Amino acid sequence: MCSPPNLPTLPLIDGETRSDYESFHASCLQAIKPDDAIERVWLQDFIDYAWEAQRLRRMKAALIQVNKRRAVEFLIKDLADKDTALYHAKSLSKEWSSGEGGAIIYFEELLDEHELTDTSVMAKAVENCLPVLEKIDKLIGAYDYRRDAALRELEKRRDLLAKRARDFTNSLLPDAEVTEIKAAE
Amino acid sequence: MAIDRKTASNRRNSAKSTGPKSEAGKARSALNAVSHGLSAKSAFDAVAQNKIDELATSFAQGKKENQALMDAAREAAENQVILERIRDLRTQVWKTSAHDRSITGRGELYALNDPGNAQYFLEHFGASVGEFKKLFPNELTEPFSSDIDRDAAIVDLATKELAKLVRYERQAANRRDRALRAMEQLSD
Repeated sequence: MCSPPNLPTLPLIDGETRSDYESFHASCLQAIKPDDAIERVWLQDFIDYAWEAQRLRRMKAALIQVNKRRAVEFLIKDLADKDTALYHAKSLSKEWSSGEGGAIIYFEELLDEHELTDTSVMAKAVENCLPVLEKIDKLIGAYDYRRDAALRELEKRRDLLAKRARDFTNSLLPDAEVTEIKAAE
Repeated sequence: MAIDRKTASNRRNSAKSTGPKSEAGKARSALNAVSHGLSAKSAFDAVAQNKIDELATSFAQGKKENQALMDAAREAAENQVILERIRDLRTQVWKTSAHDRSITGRGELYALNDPGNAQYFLEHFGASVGEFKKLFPNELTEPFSSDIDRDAAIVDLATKELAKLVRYERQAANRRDRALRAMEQLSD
């Protein structure tokens, strides 16, 4: 359950590598050092949810990137002269997205001309994909909560075990007698 | 008799209902079955039962004589197996979404939107592109302009399915953790 080779299938999708997963797994194992089967369960939870949330954060970034290109296309159609808006908005936004200098300069000047900034592009991009972003954020929230819950359970159990060990040790010690030491006359 | 006729008619009509037709619908309904089975204890086959026994014994650290402890360990183990199924299913959701017809078939017949092609289609197949579009909406939609565009559509599809699994996951994790905590009290 705990070491990656025991998993029948690793929870990987396209774009993720076995070596990345294994290295993440090894770091968590090293940091948490599970003591028994119960602790290994919570460690596996921690790894799964952290991995899943990270995957969604990557997807979220990619989604915003796509929509930034769409936002650029929208703004060119909205702000540029009729000819550019009608015939070149799509190709310019693609060039902007692939980092072509001419398109980037053209778009910066267009924004300046209308007193807009990069923030306007981001706002439009987020607006375009808001329903999906909300769904992703909800999932990330749920996975982060479960990841933290696994750590909390682990911490509580270790505290309880430590307290038991302390109580047990104390019970073995004889009651100390208080002896009054008189000062030398 | 009227009742017999009604029964026969009901049977005929129900025979026409053959479930989802599109690939996306089939994939969705396949996941419905799995998600309903996730929390059903009757869904544990022999392999899962063995896994549960193994896990329960290791949770209880071999103290098989303590019945109450073993019961709690078994409850924890059953829910752990459910959680492992959900984990596998989460990965499956991403893979299924990537191969959904709405993604792989997108834009395959986009050329039919061209008026010349639409006319040819009407003359040779006797159906308008509008009618065809109702049956194959994805195929007539504009193709993805890039891989990132396609990935964004996959994310949209997958998050819908993943959201359904979250509830099952929360319930199973809470039941497991409650049982594990109960074990701590019982082993005092």
